[in-house]
Amino acid sequence: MKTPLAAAAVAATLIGALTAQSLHVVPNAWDDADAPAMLSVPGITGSERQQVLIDASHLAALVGRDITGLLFRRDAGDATALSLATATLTVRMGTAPHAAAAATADFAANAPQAVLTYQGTLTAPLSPSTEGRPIHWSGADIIEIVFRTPYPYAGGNLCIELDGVATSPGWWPIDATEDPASGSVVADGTACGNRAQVLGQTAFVAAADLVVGRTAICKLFGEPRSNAILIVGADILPTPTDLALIGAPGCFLYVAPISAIPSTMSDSLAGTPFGGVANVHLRIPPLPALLAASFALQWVETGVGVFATSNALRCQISSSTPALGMATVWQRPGGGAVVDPTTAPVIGLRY
Amino acid sequence: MQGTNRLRTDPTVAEGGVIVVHVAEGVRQVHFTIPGHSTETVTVRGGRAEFRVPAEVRGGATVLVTDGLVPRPSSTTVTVVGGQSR
Repeated sequence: MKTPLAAAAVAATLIGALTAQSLHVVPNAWDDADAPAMLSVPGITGSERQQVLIDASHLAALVGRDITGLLFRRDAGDATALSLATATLTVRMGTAPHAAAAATADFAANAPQAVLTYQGTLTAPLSPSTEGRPIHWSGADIIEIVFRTPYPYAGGNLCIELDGVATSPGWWPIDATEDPASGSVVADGTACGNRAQVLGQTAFVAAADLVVGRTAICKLFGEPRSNAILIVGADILPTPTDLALIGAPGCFLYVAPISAIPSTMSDSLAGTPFGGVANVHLRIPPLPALLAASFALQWVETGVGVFATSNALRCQISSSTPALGMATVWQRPGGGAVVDPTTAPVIGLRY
Repeated sequence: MQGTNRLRTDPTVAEGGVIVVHVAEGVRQVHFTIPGHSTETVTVRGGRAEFRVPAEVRGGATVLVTDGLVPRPSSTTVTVVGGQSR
């Protein structure tokens, strides 16, 4: 016969076992190792709305469980001590109706029935230097969100939405994973105009943006507040059109337009030689038919006393699809949404 | 280390040295310019972008770094220092 003390100990153990929380890290390959990239938690480094889509294949261990919180682990790439930072954060979770690789720039479409799981203050702790010590999923090495309302995960693709407003922002990079898929970009021709004389090349897009399902961020550096038009074409013209014919000597049209997308140059970037910048978000549909497809880009810039053309860009989309099984969709105040199936935070899901 | 928003780097670099920028966002390009000298665009991989300061750039020069995202670009500056380590 057990003594009352032993019975109490058994009961305590059982209760402990029933209430003990476990952690499931996604992607699980990075549970004990630092992944190759770094990101920020929305609100901690700056205001941002972000969705993380996770394929069901990463979440089999959680089916039928209540997810009670999220953890983000500091990145090992910057070993310096990190300062306290705070934000106001809203977290919603829901079933994603599509795989991460098919994420869209429409937040509502990625999680049509998301439910609120947390709303309140988020704190990134003072974190001492990581020189000579391992990084753990605990203490000052993590940012933790404890849900007010647990999320019952019944299976399927999951969407986690984090809407963070910076209140006391700081540098606090978190670990992230990255897919090596990449297209290629070759600059062609020459730019004209004042900014071209300073910078040389004025049009840019990252080769790593040229992946099916991703948003390619096309950039033009030019005169602040002027108008900009991104020309999208199938290829570079065999012979460029000399725009001296319309009074713009030294300017050439290299791309026959299939589409033209208007934009506006920003104010000067802190008065730097960059001048202003225009961004156009070019969504590459997640279609296998676009693997290794090629196209061409060029910008035309106009304004009061301003006419300029950029260099052209020969672009080829990656021949491989992203294989993370995760994607991020992010948007900053005043900016457009960016879909990225090639980068995602390493997330601890508490259950 | 210094920086604003999502870019961070050492505030100084030696002549001919390498600037390492930590990038805590999903962008894949960072732009460097040395006023009156040159501009380079560098691919971000593994949360880092590296740029070697051309040997002819002397101490006292400033290197401007930006992600070029609007409406709120993340940017920082690095000062080139003569004959010293970073």
